Amino acid sequence: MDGTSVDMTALLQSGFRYAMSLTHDTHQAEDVLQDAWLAVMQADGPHSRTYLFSAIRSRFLNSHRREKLVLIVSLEELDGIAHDACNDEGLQEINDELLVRAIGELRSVEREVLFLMVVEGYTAQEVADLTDRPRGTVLSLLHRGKRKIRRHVEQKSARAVP
Amino acid sequence: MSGDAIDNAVKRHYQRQTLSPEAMARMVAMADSVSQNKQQEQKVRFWRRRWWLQRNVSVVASVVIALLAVSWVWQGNDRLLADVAQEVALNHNKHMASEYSADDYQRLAAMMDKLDFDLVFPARLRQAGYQMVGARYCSIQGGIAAQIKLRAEDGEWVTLYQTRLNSKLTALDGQRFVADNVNVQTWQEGGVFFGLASTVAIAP
Repeated sequence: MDGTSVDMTALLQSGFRYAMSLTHDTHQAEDVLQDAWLAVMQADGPHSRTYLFSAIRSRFLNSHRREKLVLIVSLEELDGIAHDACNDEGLQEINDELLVRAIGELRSVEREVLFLMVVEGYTAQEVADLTDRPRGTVLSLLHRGKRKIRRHVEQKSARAVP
Repeated sequence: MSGDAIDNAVKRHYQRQTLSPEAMARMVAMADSVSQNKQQEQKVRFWRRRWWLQRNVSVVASVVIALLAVSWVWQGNDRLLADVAQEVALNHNKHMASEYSADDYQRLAAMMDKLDFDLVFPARLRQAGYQMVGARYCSIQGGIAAQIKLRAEDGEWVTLYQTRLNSKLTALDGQRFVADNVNVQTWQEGGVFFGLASTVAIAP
């Protein structure tokens, strides 16, 4: 996003949240962040969010190389994207516990895109640049991620209602 | 469920995720430590560079001083030889009459009692068959000297100069120089400086 320096604590918190979006695990996120943080410090790199995110991503991919290489999208999922984009009505509030579970069911690539665009405010092109993916794929991952969350929440909520 | 609701929920979820205070403290400390190490490394690098620079400057300065000293001594010796040779050649070409007539060194030494050194007949001339004709006082580089006229077996004249050896003249041991068509050889023996002037190449 921007390359300007930010406060160290705020930068570490952002890095941790990004690592959480990739790992969905507190301990793993801390480990990945610590490795990346040390590398940034030793390289005397810019204390910018983008630089730290790149370092985190690179370390995460090194330990999850297979996930990076294999990105399988089913035809069923692709068909659903266009339909779901026009069908965003329903629950206004989402139960936190359900949401955590729903996010946990996403793949790391989907969580990453969701986090970068929804939480950090990156544009699709910026995410495409950072993650080295086509912009179309980024948008597809975003829609798919949201759709999975919605489905999960709707299914679980429906079961909960007598 | 609207897209905004999902977005808001996702935002809330991630905003609640915070790095634990322990981990935060650890990483801030890590940053401080790396920063301190870097500063230390920079200091070491600075002093190392400074030491290297000082050493090289010292070495270069020493070499330059040594070269200048050698050059100065060298040029000084050349100048001194030229001066002495000019002096000797000038006296030789004057053909001044001898003040003391003598045919051996012992008698000549007794006559020239103002000299501040002992007259010596140089070893390198003993076998050359020179015959002493006479001598007079003169000066070389401001010091009192004896100018001795010698005749070679073939009838040619040569002039031998002797004076007390000093630190400057020591540098002219074993030198040759040509000045005003006079060959001048300089050497030292037994604490005495010698200069032999000849207009022909008969000097040994």
